[in-house]
Amino acid sequence: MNLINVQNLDIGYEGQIIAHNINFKLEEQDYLCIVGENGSGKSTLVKTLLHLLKPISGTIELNGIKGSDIGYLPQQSTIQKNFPAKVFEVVLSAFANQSLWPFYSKEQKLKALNALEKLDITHLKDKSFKSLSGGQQQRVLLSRALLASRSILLLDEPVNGLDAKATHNMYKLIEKLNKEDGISIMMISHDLDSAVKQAKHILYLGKKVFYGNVDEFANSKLYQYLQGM
Amino acid sequence: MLKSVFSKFILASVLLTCSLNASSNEYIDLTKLNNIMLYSFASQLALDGESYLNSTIKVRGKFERIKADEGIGANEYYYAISIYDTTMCCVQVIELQFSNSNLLNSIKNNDIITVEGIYSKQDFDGLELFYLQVTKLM
Amino acid sequence: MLQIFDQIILYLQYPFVIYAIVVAVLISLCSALLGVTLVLKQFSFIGDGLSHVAFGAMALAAVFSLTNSMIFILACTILCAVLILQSSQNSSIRGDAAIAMLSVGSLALGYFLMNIFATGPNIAGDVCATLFGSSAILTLSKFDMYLSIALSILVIFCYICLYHKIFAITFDENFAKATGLSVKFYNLALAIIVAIIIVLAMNLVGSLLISALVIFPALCAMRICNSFLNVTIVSCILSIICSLIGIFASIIYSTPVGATIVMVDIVAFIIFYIISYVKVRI
Repeated sequence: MNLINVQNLDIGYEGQIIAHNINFKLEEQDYLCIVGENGSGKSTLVKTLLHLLKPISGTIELNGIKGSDIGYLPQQSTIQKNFPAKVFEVVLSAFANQSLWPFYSKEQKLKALNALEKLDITHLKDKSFKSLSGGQQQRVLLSRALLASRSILLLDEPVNGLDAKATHNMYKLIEKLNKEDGISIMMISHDLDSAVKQAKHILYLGKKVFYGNVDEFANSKLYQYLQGM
Repeated sequence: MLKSVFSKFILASVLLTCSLNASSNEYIDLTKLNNIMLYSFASQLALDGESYLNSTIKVRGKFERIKADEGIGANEYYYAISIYDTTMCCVQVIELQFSNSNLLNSIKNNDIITVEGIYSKQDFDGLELFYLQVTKLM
Repeated sequence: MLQIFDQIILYLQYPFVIYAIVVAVLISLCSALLGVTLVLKQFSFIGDGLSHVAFGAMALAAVFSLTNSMIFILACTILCAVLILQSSQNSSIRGDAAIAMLSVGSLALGYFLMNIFATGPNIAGDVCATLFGSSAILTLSKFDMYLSIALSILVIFCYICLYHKIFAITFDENFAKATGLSVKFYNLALAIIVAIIIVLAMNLVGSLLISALVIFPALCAMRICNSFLNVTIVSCILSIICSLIGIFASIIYSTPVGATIVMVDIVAFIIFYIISYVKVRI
């Protein structure tokens, strides 16, 4: 079953189209990498998928899920890197929109603990977020994203700024979530080579839009052209 | 725990403020106060005169003969003690009225004087004006 | 030492001193609460800008001889807070430029009006008092005092209710939006709360010094605390303590209330800075 079905989508701001005629599907347990040059509209697509921006035309069909059911891992800002907060507080903030009552319930706290456990960072629960390494911080934010959804994760350049070891660990973790926990992954990436290794489908945004499974993409002239660049 | 401490604090403040209405018929010696307190007190006498009505007040300050330039009794002179704040840019006046004209005549304009009197009010066409009825000159 | 104690006891007998202390504590508490968010969102200059707007509004109120000017000032400041926020959403006039325009414009307009329509002999004094808060907190009318207390309690109540949402939009606005949180609404609510606190704090430390009341306790707490909750609590407690020390020192030594409180805040910051420096070395 397709979780997300995007057809003839044009995206942009205030009437200005940045990318057009985007067509792709996200199936259950899918692994989609969204690649493209800077300015090609990757972050605009992210915002549109999350219903933060209206599509200029075309449709985004969601089957069985709401827009806020997509677990989002945004790029980190400098504010966050130095933010005085405990890891547990950060993870719990996934539930901020869910109650009027100024306290989190036992259930919510339990769910948060489970998310931490799933990513092997329970021991970091009471540590200060700013004292963690880049890789650890991304794990914390990933567990926060998991709390927003059990079925889809949208990751915006999750290995940006991480060293080689942390990058490798992150990719392994995402793979585990995809294969063992059945979570569909949409990942924005700059790293074409890793994308081709990890993903099942590729969506390329540029002068032309390409969508297909990863083997098609690897054998395409487009990929050869991009590799040569 | 924090919530209970906080709510107790609020309760205590409310109780304290309720019990602390300035009672009339008090003797208030303003000469013991430092400048900022004296200035603040003089402001309170003007803002909240009702609370200090009929209290006996002793105050020291500059005696001035002031011409009222607008409003009630415009262009008439009245007497007052001027209290300046520390930077000398703001002034509060406490109007003085003398029943004994000898007392009044013994004071020169701009003298620093100490007086004691009863805080009273008078009605000028519906407007309440507070003043100090001078009983003693020290 | 005993003499100081006697003096304090003497002063505490006057109701307006007690009221001043209660209002000061509440205002410091509110400023500290908002200070944490403003500092982290790098929005501290909004406090400064709005305080100048409040000064302008106060001058307007004096020109029109409004009694209970505080309501008028609140209305103007809240309106400007909303305008500033709206302008930061559009890119035509950027946030900080909008704040600068409103801020400096209000200051100039305020002083200009006060001189043209000289409503009393105390122009220099009024300006000084409003800008620097020399003894304004001790000369509050009963109405102003009740209003300050009511508004402070309202602000504290709102903050507690919205605590998690404020955390969410301070830490990560993008993620908060994605979970469906109406970030626009909460930023607006924040701006209004900030406006209210600015107007209240004008009575305590004066327009020009409000930023200190908002920023210093938060900065101190962030030096030594690791969780957002702790930072919030410590900055509130610290702010209250510094204000109490400041007020008592000023009524004992006859110094201007606003400047004294800020001096205490600065000393506290130096102390906390040293503590955190030593902590790192150990």
